[in-house]
Amino acid sequence: MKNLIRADFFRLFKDKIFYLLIAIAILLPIVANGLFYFGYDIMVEQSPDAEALEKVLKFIKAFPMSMYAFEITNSAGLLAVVAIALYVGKEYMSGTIRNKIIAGYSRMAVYASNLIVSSLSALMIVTVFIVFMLAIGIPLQGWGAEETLTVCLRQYAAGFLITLASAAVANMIAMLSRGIIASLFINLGVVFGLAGIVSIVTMLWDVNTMPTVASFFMKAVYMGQLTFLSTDFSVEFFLTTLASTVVVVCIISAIGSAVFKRLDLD
Amino acid sequence: MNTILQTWGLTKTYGTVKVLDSVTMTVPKGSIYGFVGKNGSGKTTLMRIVAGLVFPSGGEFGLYGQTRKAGIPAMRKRMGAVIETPAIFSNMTARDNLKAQCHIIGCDGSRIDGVLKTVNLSNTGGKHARNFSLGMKQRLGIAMTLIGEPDFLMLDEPTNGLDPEGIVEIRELILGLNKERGVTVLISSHILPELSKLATHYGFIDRGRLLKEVEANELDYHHDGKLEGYFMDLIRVKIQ
Repeated sequence: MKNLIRADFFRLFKDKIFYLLIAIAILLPIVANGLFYFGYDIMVEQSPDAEALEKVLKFIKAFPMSMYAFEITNSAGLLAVVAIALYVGKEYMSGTIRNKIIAGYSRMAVYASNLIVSSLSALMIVTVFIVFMLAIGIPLQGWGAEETLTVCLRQYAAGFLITLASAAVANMIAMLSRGIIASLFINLGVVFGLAGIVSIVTMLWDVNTMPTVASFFMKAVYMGQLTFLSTDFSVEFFLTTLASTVVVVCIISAIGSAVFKRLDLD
Repeated sequence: MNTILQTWGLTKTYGTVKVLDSVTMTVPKGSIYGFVGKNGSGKTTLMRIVAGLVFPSGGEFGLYGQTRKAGIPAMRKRMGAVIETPAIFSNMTARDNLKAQCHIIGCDGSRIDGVLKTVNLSNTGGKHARNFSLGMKQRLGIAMTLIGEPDFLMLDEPTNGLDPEGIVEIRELILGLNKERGVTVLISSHILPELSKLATHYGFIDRGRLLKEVEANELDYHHDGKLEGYFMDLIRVKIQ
């Protein structure tokens, strides 16, 4: 298993697409911060209600860290899903997944190794995104009010948890779809599909007044968590995220590995 | 143990279609076993089952005498396989491909140079596998299996699409591995005259059923070594 993980990391670090996605994770904070910082005056100047907008922007500028927390997994999480879909999909495309099976590894070990490397690569992308967001954002927009630090750190931690949950889902889809194109399209379809469903549900109903099971399901769905990440700063939300991440990772990986174990490979 | 691979009533069905129909075959140790059959006759499916990529619907097989399902994966560590297309990373050089395979099987990189030399890919330098010719890719695919020093190789149509020079290179490589290192080879090929230059044993398969297994010298004696005619005769007899 250790050898398998080492081999998977070797493959990951030889992959140009991984570095391209890391580059995008660096570029996004530069563009986002630049637009926000330099666009501030323009937005106020051109707004029909400049006074109201200025108040809103001043409020936002007072809490830049907490604002960044919203963006973490919304953009970097999507990059991570793309990275996993391509990383695992390529293994089917090249046929190299066969080398692992022929080398005597169990299906379970192959699945687990890909899950570990996929999850860590997703965390790497998200971490790069956060580091650059803060490295560029703090000098430009300041650290923010001191009392928001704990909240922000909690939101970042929740963001990492969500990344792990989405990595488990993306890995399962990629492992079972057995092709790079199918892996990418199904993964993106699921991400946007779930985002759409969550948006519609939250528009129509108040998730917090839903029956417990439905509410938990909404928050356990990983793209649903992204929506709540930007609106719910409570400790309860963090604990729900933690619990639902554990549930999502365990259930999804158990289902994924059980199906993969019985799958005929090309 | 004189047998490397043995199957008993191996069957594979996809829906209602029987791709393999109760195949019982034996690949003797040290042999080059030519697996002869038309397209879709079940050759690749059998190799996939042995490699662990596809699960049989019925019957069983043994590798190196091991027939227990739990014990077979460990036996697979002693074999190598190139099934249909060579399983290589196109974005890596030949050397990096072998390094990746070394990581998988847990060997150090000391064998890489020797293996590259064996398959005649020592001078490919920084060229990525995607820029290799078909023959070079095929040889790299074989190199990926050789890094684990297997004593059993399964090669599915290894000369498919190769030019005459490429075919000769693969033939010499297989003969060298068999004679110098005692590697047992199960090889399927459409190019029957080419196969007859290699094989010591044959298995003829049609529509999922193994028609016959013969030794090459037996074939030479009775049919003047004409593989194609022999195969067609077998099919004709089966139809009648």
